[in-house]
Amino acid sequence: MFPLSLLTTAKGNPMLIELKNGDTYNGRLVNADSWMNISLQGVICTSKDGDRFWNIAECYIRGNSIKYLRIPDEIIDMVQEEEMPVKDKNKKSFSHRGRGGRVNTTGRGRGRGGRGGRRGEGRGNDGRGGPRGGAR
Amino acid sequence: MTSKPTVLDLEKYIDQEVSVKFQGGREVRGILKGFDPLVNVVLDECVETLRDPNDAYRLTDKTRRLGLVVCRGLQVSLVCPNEGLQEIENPFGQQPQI
Amino acid sequence: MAGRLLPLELVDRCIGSRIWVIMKGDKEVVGTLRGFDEYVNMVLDDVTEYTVTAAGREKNQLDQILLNGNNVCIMVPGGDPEASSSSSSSSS
Repeated sequence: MFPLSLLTTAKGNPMLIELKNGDTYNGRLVNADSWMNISLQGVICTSKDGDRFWNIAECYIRGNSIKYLRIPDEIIDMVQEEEMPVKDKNKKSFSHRGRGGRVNTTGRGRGRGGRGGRRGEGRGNDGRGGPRGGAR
Repeated sequence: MTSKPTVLDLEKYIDQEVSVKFQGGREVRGILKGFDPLVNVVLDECVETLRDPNDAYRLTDKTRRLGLVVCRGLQVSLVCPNEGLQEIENPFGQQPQI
Repeated sequence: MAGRLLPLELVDRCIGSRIWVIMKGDKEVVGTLRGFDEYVNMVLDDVTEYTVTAAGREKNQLDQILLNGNNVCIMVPGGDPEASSSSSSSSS
């Protein structure tokens, strides 16, 4: 899957962004565009050295200043869910209607949602402390 | 689906104080007076927060008044409203590992 | 979608006047703005170039220059680094 489609699927979800200047921003993704410019809400900014913290209500981050983004694991599952209906539509045009695809998608969605919720909480807590340790 | 020229509509911050960070480490704050889709920005009563001459990423308490300025959108790395901006204690409940 | 005051309009109004250009790094330039293009490359006259170092500010005089817009960060119409006041403030 493409990085930008993963990002647009992640709208509404919390994530961690590290900028090239070393600052990190933990917040909920509101919007993203094709240049990876993003807007976040409910943000905690941590300075490069990890010694100062700020609460920021909302911010705009320019895509080319982003070093990386850490997103919750379950987002990957959400992207595959979105790709599935598209693939099924393509298949439908060539074959019979009412393929099993529709049923499978709902089943997978439920299963993934349940697993994702539990994993998300765990990952969210680790993610904040973790990346800095990993990066250094 | 409506798509605005920017992911964050700066119109709502007109006449409010915003902070702008630049690539290279510069930081300013000022009253947002205008902007364009490339995020070139006009700030009034702009103040630059100066950095430590020995460490470009360390902010000091020193500032200098610039007045009415135009900030180049291509160099902008972050824009945020100063309302709701607040320095806080470590919110993560553990020492960040360095 | 754009604000009431367009940034490049403000720069355009400054043509013929002094302008203080602060670059991405530690260089600043003050001169009379003769013109600029869509990349904000600028032609400046009677230029004073300042380099800010830990030791202090260095000055350099130049006649007419074409300033590459690539590193232009902040433009202050009618501004002057010598007039600008530096102050300490307690962070809130």
